Amino acid sequence: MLGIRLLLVDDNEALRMTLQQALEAKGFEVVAAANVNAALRHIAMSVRPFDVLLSDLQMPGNGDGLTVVSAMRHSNPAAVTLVMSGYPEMSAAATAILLQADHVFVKPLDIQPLIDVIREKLIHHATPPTRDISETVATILEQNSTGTIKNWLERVNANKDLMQIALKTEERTGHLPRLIEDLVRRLRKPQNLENGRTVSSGAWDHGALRRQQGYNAGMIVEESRMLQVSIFQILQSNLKKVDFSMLLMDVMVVADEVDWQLTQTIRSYTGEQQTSLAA
Amino acid sequence: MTPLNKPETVANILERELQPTIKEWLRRVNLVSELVNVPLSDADRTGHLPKLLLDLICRLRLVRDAKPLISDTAATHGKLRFAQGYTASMLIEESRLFQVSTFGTLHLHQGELNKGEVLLDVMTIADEADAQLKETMITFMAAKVTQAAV
Repeated sequence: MLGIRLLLVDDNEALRMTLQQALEAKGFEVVAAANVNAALRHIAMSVRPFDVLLSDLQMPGNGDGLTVVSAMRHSNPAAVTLVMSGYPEMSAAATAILLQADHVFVKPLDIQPLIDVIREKLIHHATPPTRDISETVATILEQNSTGTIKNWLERVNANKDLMQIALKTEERTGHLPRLIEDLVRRLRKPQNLENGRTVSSGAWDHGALRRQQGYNAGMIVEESRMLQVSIFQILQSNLKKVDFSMLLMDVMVVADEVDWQLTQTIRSYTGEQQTSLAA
Repeated sequence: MTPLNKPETVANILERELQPTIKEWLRRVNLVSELVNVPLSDADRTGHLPKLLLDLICRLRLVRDAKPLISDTAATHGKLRFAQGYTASMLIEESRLFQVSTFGTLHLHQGELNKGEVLLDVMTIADEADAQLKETMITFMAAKVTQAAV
C-alpha cells in the first residue's frame, strides 16, 4: 500500500499509536489526529488529499466520526471512509452510519482484515464515485430562499387568524429575505450556539411594524412557527443533498436563530428594552 | 460486520432521554442571566416540561399531518409565568432553549435515527413547540392586559 495517504482519528492514544505503527509497517503514509477538530484541520490544510479515512465514531468534544467523514467527502469525494466503534453502540447505529461511511469496524479490530477492506474499497473507488456530494444547510437555504418564502406565504394564506390582518404580499413577507440572510450567515459561522447570535435591526423593525399593522403577539409567534416549518420542509425536499452528519447541529442553529429573531421581534412589539441575552 | 439494527424513532429517543433533555434545558436556562434574574426553584422552573415533552412525544406518534396537541398546560404555564414575573420575550427564550435542547438530544443520538424520517420529525417538533408557545403567549398577554386594567 505504498503512497496511500491515510488519516487516522482516535482519542485513545494507545490504540492510535498501535494502529499507526501497524499501518505504516504495511506501507501507508499515516497522519494521526486525537480529536475531531485536529482531524478537520488536517483535512483542510493538507496539500495532497487523503486517500483513506479511518476514524473512531465517538470522541469527546464537538462533533463525531461522521463529522470527519463528511469533511473528508467534501475534500476528496473518492476517499475511502471507514468508521470504528465499540460494541454495543455500534449495532444500533450501523444502519445510519453506513448511509455515509464505506465500512464500519467493531473494536477491537485486527490489522489484516482492515488492510483487506481498504484494498477492496480503493479498487472499487478507482471507478468514478456515484455518491452525491452533499451540500450544507446554509447553501440549500440560500439557494431556496424564494421557495421558502413562497412555502411560508402559502401557510399564512391558509390561516384564518392571520388573514384577518389585510396586508399586501410584500408587506406580509417583507421581513423574510433579511431574516433568511441572517440565518444563512449564522449557519456559516463556526458551530457555537453560545456565541453565534447578533442583534438584528431587521427583527426589531419587524416587531414595531407588526404592532402598527394590528398583529397580536400570538400571531407573531404563529408566523415564526410557520417559518420554521417551511425551512424544515425545504430541507426535507432537498434531503438527498443534505450533509446528514451536520444536519442536526444545523437544525439546532436554525431553531436557535429563528427563535432569537422572534425574541427580538416580541421585545420590540411589547416595548421591552433591547438587550443582549447571555446565551 | 455487526448485524444491522432497525433505526430508533425520534419519539422513542425523546421518551428514553426525557430527564437528560430537561437537565440540559435547565443547564442552558441557567446560562441566561435575564432568566435566572427571576428566582425560581428548579422544580418551579421545569415544572411544565414533562407534560410538554410527553405531548410532543404523543404528537410524534400520530399521523404526520395531525394538528398540534394544545393542552391546558400551555395556557396554565402562561398565567403562571406572568405571575412569576417573566416578560413575553423570556417565554420565547425558554421555548428556544426547549427546541435547542430537544434537537441536541437527537444530535447526540443521530447514529440511531432514520435519515429519511428525521427532518419530518424535526418539522413536527418545531410545529408543536411553537404551537404550545403561541398558546402560552396568548394567556400571558391576556393576564398582562387584565392586570393593567385592574
